[in-house]
Amino acid sequence: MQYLWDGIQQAFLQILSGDHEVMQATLRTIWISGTAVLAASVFGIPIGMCLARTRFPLRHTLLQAFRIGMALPTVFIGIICFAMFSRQAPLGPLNILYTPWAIMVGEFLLALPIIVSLTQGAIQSLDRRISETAKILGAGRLLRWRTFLSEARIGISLAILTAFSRCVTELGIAMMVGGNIKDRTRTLSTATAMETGKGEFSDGLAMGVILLGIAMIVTLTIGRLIRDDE
Amino acid sequence: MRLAVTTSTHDSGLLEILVPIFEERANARVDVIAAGTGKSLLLGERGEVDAILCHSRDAEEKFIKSGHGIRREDVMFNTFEILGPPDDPAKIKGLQPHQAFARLSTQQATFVSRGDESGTHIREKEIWGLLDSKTKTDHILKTGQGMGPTLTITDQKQAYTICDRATFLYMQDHITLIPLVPQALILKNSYGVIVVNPNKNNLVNSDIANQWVDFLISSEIQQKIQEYQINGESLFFPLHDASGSSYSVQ
Amino acid sequence: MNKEASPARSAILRLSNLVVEKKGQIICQLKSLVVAHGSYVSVTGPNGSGKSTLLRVISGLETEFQGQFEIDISPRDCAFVPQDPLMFRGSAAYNVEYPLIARGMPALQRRSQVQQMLREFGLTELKDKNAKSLSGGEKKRIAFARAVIYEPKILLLDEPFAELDSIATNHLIHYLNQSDKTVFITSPKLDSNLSTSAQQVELSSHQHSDPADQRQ
Repeated sequence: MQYLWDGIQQAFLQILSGDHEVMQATLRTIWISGTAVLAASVFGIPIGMCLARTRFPLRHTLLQAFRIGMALPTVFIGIICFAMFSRQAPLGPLNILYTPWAIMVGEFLLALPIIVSLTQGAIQSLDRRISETAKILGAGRLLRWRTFLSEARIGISLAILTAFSRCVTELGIAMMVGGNIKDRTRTLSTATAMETGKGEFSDGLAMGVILLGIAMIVTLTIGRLIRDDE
Repeated sequence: MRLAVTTSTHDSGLLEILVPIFEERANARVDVIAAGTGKSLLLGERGEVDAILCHSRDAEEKFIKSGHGIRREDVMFNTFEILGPPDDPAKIKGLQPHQAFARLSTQQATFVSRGDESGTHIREKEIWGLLDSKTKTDHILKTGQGMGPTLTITDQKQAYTICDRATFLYMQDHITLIPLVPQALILKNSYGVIVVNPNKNNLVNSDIANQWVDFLISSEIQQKIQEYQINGESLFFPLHDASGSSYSVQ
Repeated sequence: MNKEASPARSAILRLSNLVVEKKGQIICQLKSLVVAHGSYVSVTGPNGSGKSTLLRVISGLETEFQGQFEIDISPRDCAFVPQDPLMFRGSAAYNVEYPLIARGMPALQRRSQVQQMLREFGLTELKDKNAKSLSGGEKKRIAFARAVIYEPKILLLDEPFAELDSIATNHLIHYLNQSDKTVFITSPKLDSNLSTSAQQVELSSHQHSDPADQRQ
């Protein structure tokens, strides 16, 4: 118990002193996950919109597929990505294994189903009168979709923040295709795992505390968004 | 009994042979905890394990001197290998270890290090230490992980690394890397076993730990250690001969 | 409210044998209806008789019905203001601007049209308010401004006078009198605001298994 408390104290000291390793890992984690989520939003929001608003033959199957995608373990995605990018694989020559790009691809695959499913849910559960009113006022498809995005913005923001949270804290993908390489692919989660494994509890805790901090900021932001609109 | 061993020892599979035999004979249960040399010794310092098996003689002797351990014996030795891709783009084949490292540096060839203060990493740093302080080390990738993942990464990147022979033999079929540097004194790696000082707390069980040490250095088990082979090659070599006296390994 | 019915005007819509059924129950039924351009139609009937549904059919929102229905104008020239109009997220001004955005009008022009419209209906001080937070009556007035800003040929108003104060009511009557649009207005019973020279459509309630089920 004593060294848990020592560890926490040490952790705060390290954060406050702006320890270089910790800062680096934090920034790297944020930019890798941030880019992955951004890309997933660019693709995922329109896909979610389509699934909510249009009807086509395989719609239900596709919807189920994305929902299953939300539950995939990160190590599973990690293995798939590893298989895609390893030397012997078709995408091997791209040489992105053990670079931040590999982690980005994996986290993109992690974030996409979350954004698609939650966007679809948000738009599908919009008041039916929204689309009716838009239609009767003469809005074409583009304006209608812009209107849905605006009306569903809380649900969609939630989707993006959830995906970001999940990406920032995941370990499986970053470890498997990132390799925890110092100054290149060491993220907060891989660093935490490593430091703890080395017996450096205070370092591990420091990173863990930052991860907790990020999770808290995200949750509070979600809370504010919801309150603002009500 | 709780036994801390280094990850490379654990990955070699030797303990899966020895531990069950010991458990039966001593009528005890052995929990094996795999961790880097640093953490293993730390666990011993905190009294969280009863015995330690690692391969960092200096650190071990310091441990005993500081009073954390009450007994230390040599057990076995193996060697480190400097591995690289079969086509050896940096052309280090046949060079002495420090020459090979120097070459890797000038060629800026990618070298993957465990970077985790493990026994392997410490030895690696010793070799780098032999070189001119101007030697560049930017090309070194530090994984902070065990030998297994580090080898995988080295293999995927077709780069160079240093690895204990046991883990290499174990992973041989999965990787394309081969040893490029002939054996030298600096690559010899001796293993020691330590009994943790029971005065740390009343959970430390030095009786069984002592039995474990006696077990390991007995001629029968020393023989068994040599007999443990992968693909017809021994991983470890005993440090005690039939009469029970230990070989000296520098 | 007065509108002269001129015998020479052509029909803007024709409807016969309309039946709208949902979940096996008839919610709206009308034998025939012919409406001339520019006329004023008052649709009355008790709750549940299908007044709103009739307007929805005419506006094109309700497409599942039996019977013949011809209308002489395109859907874009039709305006429908429901009983409880929905406001989009944004200001009242944005809501009024919406149909003009839909029609691709350039921003400057839109802004001036919106200003004009708000002034005409005395809604200028509501301009920047959050539309979703307006009162029921304010929403109705904004919705009305939103509906007429693009000069539709048919106005379908579902209980427009409910929730309006007398000033707003007079405003609305005055506007409707002056316009040449075809106007449908529903109300539960004949309103004193409504003229007897208007075309009357009375819908009766239908066979429901349980009278308590009747909902508009």
